[in-house]
Order: sequence, then structure tokens, then C-alpha cells
Amino acid sequence: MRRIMWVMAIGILVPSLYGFGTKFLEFIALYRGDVEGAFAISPILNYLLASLGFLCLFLWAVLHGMFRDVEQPKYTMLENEQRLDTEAPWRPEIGMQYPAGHRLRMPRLGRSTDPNRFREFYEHDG
Amino acid sequence: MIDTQAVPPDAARHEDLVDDPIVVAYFLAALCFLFVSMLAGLLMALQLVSWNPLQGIELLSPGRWRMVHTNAVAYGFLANAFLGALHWAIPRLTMRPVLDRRLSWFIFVAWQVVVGCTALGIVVGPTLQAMSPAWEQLPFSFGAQGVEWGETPTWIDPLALAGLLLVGINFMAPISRAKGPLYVASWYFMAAFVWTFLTYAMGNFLPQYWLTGTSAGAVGGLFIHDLVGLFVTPLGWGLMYYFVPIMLRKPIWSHGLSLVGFWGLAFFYPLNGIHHFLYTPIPMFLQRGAIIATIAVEMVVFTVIVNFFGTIWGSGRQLITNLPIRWFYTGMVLYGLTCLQCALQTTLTFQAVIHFSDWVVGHAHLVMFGVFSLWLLGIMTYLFPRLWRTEWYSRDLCEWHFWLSAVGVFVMFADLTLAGLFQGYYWGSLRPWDVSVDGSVPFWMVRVFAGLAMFAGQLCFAYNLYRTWKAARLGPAPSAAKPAPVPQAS
Repeated sequence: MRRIMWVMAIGILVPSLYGFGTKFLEFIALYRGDVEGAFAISPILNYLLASLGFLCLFLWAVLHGMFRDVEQPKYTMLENEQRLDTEAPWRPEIGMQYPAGHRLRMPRLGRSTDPNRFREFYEHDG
Repeated sequence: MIDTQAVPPDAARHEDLVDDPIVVAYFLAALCFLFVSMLAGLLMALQLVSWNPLQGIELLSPGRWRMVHTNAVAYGFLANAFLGALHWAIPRLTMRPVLDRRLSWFIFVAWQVVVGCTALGIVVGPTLQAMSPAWEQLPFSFGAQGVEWGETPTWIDPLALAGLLLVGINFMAPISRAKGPLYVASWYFMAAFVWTFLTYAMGNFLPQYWLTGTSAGAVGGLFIHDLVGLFVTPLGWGLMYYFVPIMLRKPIWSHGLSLVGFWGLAFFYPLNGIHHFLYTPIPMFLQRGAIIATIAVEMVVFTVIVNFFGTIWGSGRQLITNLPIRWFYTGMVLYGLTCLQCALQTTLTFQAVIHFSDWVVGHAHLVMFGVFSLWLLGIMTYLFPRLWRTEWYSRDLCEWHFWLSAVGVFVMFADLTLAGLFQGYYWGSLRPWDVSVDGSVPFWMVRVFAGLAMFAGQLCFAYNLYRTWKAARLGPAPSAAKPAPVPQAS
């Protein structure tokens, strides 16, 4: 698996770097050779500055172990949510959720305000 | 202000973390601006079929309404709704409150002033300035700035930028204090705070004070697209990564894949904007670079969509039984559609036909309403019962809201896409301009009715919200509150 990953990474990165490098040289040639070519520099500089910032952030994240256990944060987030909802003053099911057997139907105009209108959900859900 | 040191993150409760009233305030402000924006859009649609009810009133002329329409939806509806949702999501995600609740309220008031002044500047700015010779001598205009999507008058720009900086500081505090590897939503939020500030500065200041001609045009293109891709998109996806797993009660399918999506967006997106100006004097290598970057982004987008559909796999019935989930996944399907459309329409072949046509208008509505507005309205559908501790007044009105909005925007998108193709071929065949206008009128008629359906959906939502609020004032509904704990026999 690791070998496939390396092959794919090299297969994608090398042509990309080659393409980017040649286009960058083309850009410098345009900038030097044509007095009006200078106007292309502002969007390119914008892109390079923004990307450089994110490259630094990416390296920082790698060095600080942000990708060491890459799947753990999704479990931590759910556990925190569950704990907060357990202690919250509302029932976790509050909101637009129907009973599990609910079928789509044409909605009616007007009120449907039976105070127990969502009771079936809670009863169903136990 | 909550003393974050006094409440250990592990023991924090919802009340310690989230300031519910500010979430409500942001959502209500967002809905007010949504109505203003939709009303303005409706007037523009009526103008195109020669039914403008405000004909002859200079201050309410279609050119001004159009700018109110776009600015109210971007800075009034989307920004307010995002800020409201972030005030809920970030503290719960990081288990730490925002830096300062008073700062949150200050930003809320300041942002409404910024958006309100923008609308006023667009509608009455030039007229007001002409009333006094002293005002006419001022080195800046009270009216709209000549930058697409950046029509915010120049004198408001520094205030708006300061507001964005404060938003970043207020929200970065809890994210930076979070322990351990970050969840992908936090990455998206962090990036959005940096990108939005930089994008706003680039688009509103560079073309105004430093750049001219084609160079300013190229930066304008970056600004238009980065506003969607680096402000709206990361906040939208960040919120989806937060809300979808907690509603489905299962983790995202692959957190690793979600990080690929985030970093792909970070590196491929910033150069996309030039694709707004294909066939212009901008050098071809920049135009082609933008096309390739756009197609690369579509691959990144594909990883994100696969991840979300992998998450709901096995829980497909939730699309029927869980209305917020239905809002979210409808938006995701439309997002896939809009990105597919994007990959095609940025090619030079497609551009030769659709440039300047209604195709682009259909695409913009699909992105702004069909994706991000649907997500935000879904978040509101989920959160208002929690914020007010009561169930919705009418679930049927919630259903009407969903179906009128979703069907309305899809009809509008399909209609304008077709209109754009017809217009492109009319122009390409070099027939008189009038022929293309006459051929467009039936499509514009359909657009009026699609817009009316979307507007009717929001009216259903507003009425339902009002009745729910009235019910909430009487106290929590029995079905919404938790049952009292049963005392344990000792």
C-alpha cells in the first residue's frame, strides 16, 4: 500500500512540478521581455503569497503531530457533542425529525399544532 | 465574558460555551436581509419582463436594486447566518467559548451598520452627495464602488475590514486553545478567517488605489471567485462537517479524506478566479492556469462529496425522516452539479458560447441559494427549536419551506441555463440583438415564477418562525424539554 502511495505521489508530483516550473519561467520571461507583462505579476504574487502561508501552516501541522492519528478527531468531536447534549436542557431529538417509518407526503397548508405532535417520535425512539 | 480558565473544558456545559441570544440575533438579521435581497431580485426579474412596478423612480432604479440584491445576500444574509452558526459550532467543537461575548455583540451591531450603510450608499449615496457642494468636494464617493461584488462604498471598506479582523480574533481564540489534532471543521474555519480578510482587502483596496486596467480586472476576477471559494465555501463545508455527523450520530466516513479536501482547496483554489476573464487581454498562460486549477478543484470537491455520501451510506432513510439532513444533502447534490458545471464552463470552448449570458446568472443562483442558502436554512431549521426550547409550530410549513425553496431554485437554474445557451447561439449566429432579447423573454417569465416560489417558501418560514417564537414565550413545550429526573430511592 505504501509503495502504491509513493508511486502515485511521484507520478503526480513530478509532472506537476515540471508544469509549474516551466510556467513560472515563462512568466518571468514575459515579465522581463514585455513592458506590459508586469500587470500579470499582481495575481501571481497574490497566489504565491497565499499558498506560501498555507505551505508554512501545513509544515507546522505536520511537525506538531496534527496528522499522526488522523481519524481520532472525528470520534472526539462526537463524544464531546454527546456529552454536551446529555447535559443540555432540551431533548437531543428536538427539531424536525419524524418517526422512523415516516413517508414523504404532500404537505398541507395551515397549522398542525397538536401539542403532542412529536410525541410519536420520542415514543418510537424510546 | 466567561472566564475560560475557571471552567475546565471537560466539565463545560452548553450554557458556559454558547451565547444563545447572539445566535438568534444573527439568524434574525440574516433573514431580514434575505427578504430585502429576494425582494430586490424579484423586482429585477419583473423589470426584465417589463412589469417593473417602480418604473420612473430614480432612487429605486433597477441598476441600484441589482447591487442591493447581490450585496444583501452576500454580506447581509450569508455572512450573518454564518456568524450565527459559528457562534454555536465553534465553542461546542472546541469546548471553549469565544474570546469575549461583549466583543461578539459589538461585532454584531457593527456588521449590521456596515451592511445597512452599504445598502444606503448604493441606493441614496450619489443623490445625497450631490445635495451639498462640500460633500461633492470629498475625495471619495458616498455611492457604490466600481468593483463587482465589492460595491460596498469605499468609506465603509476600512470598517468592514476591521470587523473581519475582530471576527477572526474572537473565533481564533477558542480554536487556538483546543488541545490535540484539530477536527477538519476547525481547519476550514481557521482558513476562512484568514482568507476572508485577505480576499476582502485584495478585492476592495488593490483595484481602487494601486492597480489599473487589465491588472485591476485580473484581481477583480480573483476577488469575485475567492469570495465564493475562500469565504463562503470553507465556512459552508466546515459547518457541514460539524452538523452532519452529529445529526446522523456517526462520525464522518474518512477524516483523512476530509483533510485531503481541505488542503486541496487551500492550494488549488486561489488561482481560479482568472477564469472569469477568459478571452481577455490577460496573458493566456494565466487563463489556462486558471482553467487547470479549476478542474483540479473539481477533483478535490469530488473527494468531499464522496466522503459525505459515504457517511450517510446505510442511513439513507434520514433523508426522509430528518429534515435538516434533507436540506444539507439537497445542497450537496446541487453543489456537485454546480462544480461539474464549473469544470465545463471554464473551458474556452464553453466560454465561447455562454460568456455574458444568463447561464452565468443561473450558475450564481445555484451556488448561492441552491447550495449555501439551503445549508444555512437547514441549520436554522435544526437550531431554532434548540435555541427557543420548543418544537416548530408547524411541520407542514417546514416542508413547504423546503420544497418551495429547493424546487424553485432548481427550476430557476435549469431555466437560466437554457436561456444562456439560447442567447449564446443567438449572438454567435450574429442575428440582431433584439432577436436574442425576444427569445429570452419566455425564460425570464419562468424565472419570475421560480423566484416567486422561492420567496413564498421564505414567507412560510417567517410565519412558522413567528408562531414558534410566540409558543416559546409560553415556556418549553412538553415534547421539547427533558423529563424531570426521577428521584432515586435511597
